[in-house]
Amino acid sequence: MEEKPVTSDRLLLWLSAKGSGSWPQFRAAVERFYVSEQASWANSEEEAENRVPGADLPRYQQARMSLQRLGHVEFLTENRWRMVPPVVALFSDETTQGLLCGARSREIIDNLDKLPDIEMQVSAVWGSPSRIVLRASSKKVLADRIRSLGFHVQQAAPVAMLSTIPGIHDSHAWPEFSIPGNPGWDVHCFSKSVLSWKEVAQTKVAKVHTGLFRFTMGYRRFYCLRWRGCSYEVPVQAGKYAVMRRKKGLIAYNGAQRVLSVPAIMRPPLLIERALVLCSGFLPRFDPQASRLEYDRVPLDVARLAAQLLCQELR
Amino acid sequence: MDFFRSIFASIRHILSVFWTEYLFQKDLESRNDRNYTDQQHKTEGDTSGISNESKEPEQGRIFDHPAKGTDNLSDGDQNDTVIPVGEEDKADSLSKEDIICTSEKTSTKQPAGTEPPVVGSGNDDKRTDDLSGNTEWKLDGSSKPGSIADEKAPHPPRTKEPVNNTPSPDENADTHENVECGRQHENSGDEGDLGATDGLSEIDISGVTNTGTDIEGDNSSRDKKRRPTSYRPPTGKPPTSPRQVPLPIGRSRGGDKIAGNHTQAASIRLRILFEHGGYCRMSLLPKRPAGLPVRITVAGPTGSLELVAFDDDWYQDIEIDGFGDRLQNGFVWKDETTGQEWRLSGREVFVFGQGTSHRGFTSCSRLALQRPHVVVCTRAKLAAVEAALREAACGDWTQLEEDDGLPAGWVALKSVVPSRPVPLADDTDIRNVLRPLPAIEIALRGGIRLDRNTWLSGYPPSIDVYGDSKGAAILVDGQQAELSTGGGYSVPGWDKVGHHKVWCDGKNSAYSVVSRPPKRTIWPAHTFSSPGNSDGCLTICGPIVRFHGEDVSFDDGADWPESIEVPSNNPVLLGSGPGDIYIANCRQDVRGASCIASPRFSPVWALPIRPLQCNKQSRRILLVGKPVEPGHGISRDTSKTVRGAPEPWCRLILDAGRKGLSVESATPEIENLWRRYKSHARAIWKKSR
Repeated sequence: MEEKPVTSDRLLLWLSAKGSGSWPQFRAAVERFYVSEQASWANSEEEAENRVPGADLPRYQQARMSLQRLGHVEFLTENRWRMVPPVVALFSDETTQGLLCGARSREIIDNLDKLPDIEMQVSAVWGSPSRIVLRASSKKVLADRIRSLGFHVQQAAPVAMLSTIPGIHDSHAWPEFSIPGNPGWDVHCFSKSVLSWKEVAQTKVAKVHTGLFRFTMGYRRFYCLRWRGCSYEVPVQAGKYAVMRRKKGLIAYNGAQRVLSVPAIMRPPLLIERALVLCSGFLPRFDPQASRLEYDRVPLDVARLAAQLLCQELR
Repeated sequence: MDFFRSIFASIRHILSVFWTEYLFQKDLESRNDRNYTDQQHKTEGDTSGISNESKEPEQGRIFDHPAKGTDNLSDGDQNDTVIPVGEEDKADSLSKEDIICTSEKTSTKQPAGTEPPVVGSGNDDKRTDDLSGNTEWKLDGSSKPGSIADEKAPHPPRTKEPVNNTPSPDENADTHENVECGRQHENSGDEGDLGATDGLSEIDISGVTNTGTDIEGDNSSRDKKRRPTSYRPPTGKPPTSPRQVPLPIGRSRGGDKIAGNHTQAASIRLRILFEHGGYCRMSLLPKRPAGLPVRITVAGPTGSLELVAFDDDWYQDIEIDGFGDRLQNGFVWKDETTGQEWRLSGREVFVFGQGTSHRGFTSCSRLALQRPHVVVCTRAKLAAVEAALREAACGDWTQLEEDDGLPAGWVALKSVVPSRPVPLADDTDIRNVLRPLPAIEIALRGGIRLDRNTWLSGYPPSIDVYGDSKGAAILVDGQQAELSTGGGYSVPGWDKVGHHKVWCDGKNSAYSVVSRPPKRTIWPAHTFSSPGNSDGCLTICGPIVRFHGEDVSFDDGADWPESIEVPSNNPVLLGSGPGDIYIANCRQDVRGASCIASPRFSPVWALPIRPLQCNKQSRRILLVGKPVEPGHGISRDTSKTVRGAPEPWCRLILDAGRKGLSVESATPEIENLWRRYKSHARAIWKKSR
């Protein structure tokens, strides 16, 4: 009798056909297509217990984050979303594979499947649309075949993205912020030592030289980075790495398994994380023992680039 | 001629005055306790039955009149339609939504397959179902039963549903969602009651749509006792100003329970979600009336609550304290800023059905045949509810208790699927919500719905027919539909791109299947100034990275060239044509970063930026594109191209040759190709000198 959760495939098809829309429309679509929660895709009871960080977020927030991390949809600041055109992002490693990102339709998938010299692999992934990987004998053949269909190709997508994104310390990208003077805000400061939020008095914020603060009142929430005596409004992930500069062991890299890991609370900013996700096409895996997020199949050069942008050192 | 005409008109007028006065006195004698229409109105009403043509110019005036709503009803309906003195506020306060809701429920009372009376009821004539799926209510002269206007007016059959209306259960629930509507429906036990309900409807609508002030003024000298009390002309006040004195928060006018009309109040639906382990969660789902902000603070019996918009029509569902008591007794939320109210009528039995706008089950007006429901009731009503469910042949259901997440004192019956229609009982029997009607309903479910009646190609809707449809033919696009193995009715081509119609026993529905290929234009989602270049921008759209100069428009549809990764040691890209030159500037702040270049030509070679000064032991000439001959193809300009100047292109090639740079992993063919480029550059260089 009860509806069964499905993958985000139908949601992605709906978004692709629509092209763009508002945030309420997206939320309604998530409800309509009954996109599964991440935890409900757990393969076992034990796995279900070890819920992925953020799994307690509303379902539509989970769907939003997975879609934008995989480069399917861009969510804009004015409460709107817009589809990315269909594109095959070639991996940065030596493999001759590419990941289908952006808008999809049944015709697109059928056409890709019929391409000569191309092998298409479709696999269901929890919490995100099906992962579609295209493989050919060489990257050149793969790119040429895809271009013949009129699709976009992005060579070495992770490296290209990381070579474009400004570093975390680039304060030019931060808009200035005036600390609210009215009372009633709940203010928390991010603790570098214990990697958690601690409550502080609102009046103390302006006296701090460097630190990240969270202001909440009802449903309103924003993050203020105090940097060299100035205040900036920053995305929370960028703010955390800005105050955590050069902390050893924050980013770990296992060269043998090509796995890059960060503490679960230190998720990288969106575009850096997207570059890491596009190395494999999988969302990060949560390691409950170490409480870390693990990104698979990350080449060493990509890991180094990401660490530099985050002002961290690889362990 | 004019003289005789005027005499004739005078005589006719005198006769009509006497005649109507006679009728009026007769009416007064026979209905001492009733209020009737005034004499002038009566006269016009009678003439309307005599000559439709002569009445036409006055139709609007006739039905502007407050009493016409009662006068144009048949005798059988009149008694139920006239509103007692003191109840006019109640009648006026009915919203249009309430009326439509009531009317639709009225129509569902018709047994399946029977053709209901079209004009005789005196109520149906106020509603016309148009092709756009809207139910339109009209007040015109054609509504008088038995009049010539009625006979001439092409009334749509009662059973005809709007063509474009998608009869999904949720949408039906939308119109039936108001608990007060449900109560009115419950009270509509027989035709007389139905007529009474519709009578209220038309009066209220006349108040909404017509001014009626002219006739009001004409009758101002008459005795107020004889004036119809069931009608009030519109006051012109905004909808947010209720006529009644507002109820205290959380209290009803008549007692503990919230009862009576919902003048301006928006509805609150209930929602049940079944989560892992069979645990269920109940929440309140407040409607978002048009024009209300995304966030709104309402005062309720438990204090202030902040509602946050879920979408254009609903606020996010919310859980409150003391849920059980609130369900049973009802409550009111009010936004002090706008005066908007939300009400939930208290009751002891709630029916939930599956919808399309929200996951899980949301409250609906009654059980529907062959559909899964959840029934939530107080423990005191459990036995009566189970008896009613057995009467509707609901099969086996599962009972959920307080431990499963329900409010204290409440139980839920899950997997309730009625399979037998049950006649409605007494008006006041709350178990009427557990008695499914036999009405046939066509439901279009599933697939990928893009708009109200539009589905995406490849993902069409499933066509389901609910209700007592045994033996009735189901036609899709005029062909006899068969029940497919996967569920739903289908015919050949039912899922093809185009417009499709479904029909079953007088009910019809329609849907379209469209193909919408995704757009392929790149657009700038994230834009950064180039880290190594001051006069260009880098944009990211999904995984796509593009570099473009300042002269390239951000407009959608711009033919942005594909970006390529350029080795930082070889940032100069050369195309096949003289002038095809692009110098990529690499960022210096990150070690190992690639140079991203988006030349508007197909690059062939990548060279060091100063070939004569580089170390030829470590630097190479790279073939980065297709090995095309020099001068092949048409070159295009770019911001980084030295336009119209082949000299730099030639000089770079000649300098690389003079330095003796070798070609990386060159085959004999590639080395020969490089030689031809050098020859071509030398020839151009000599020619230019």
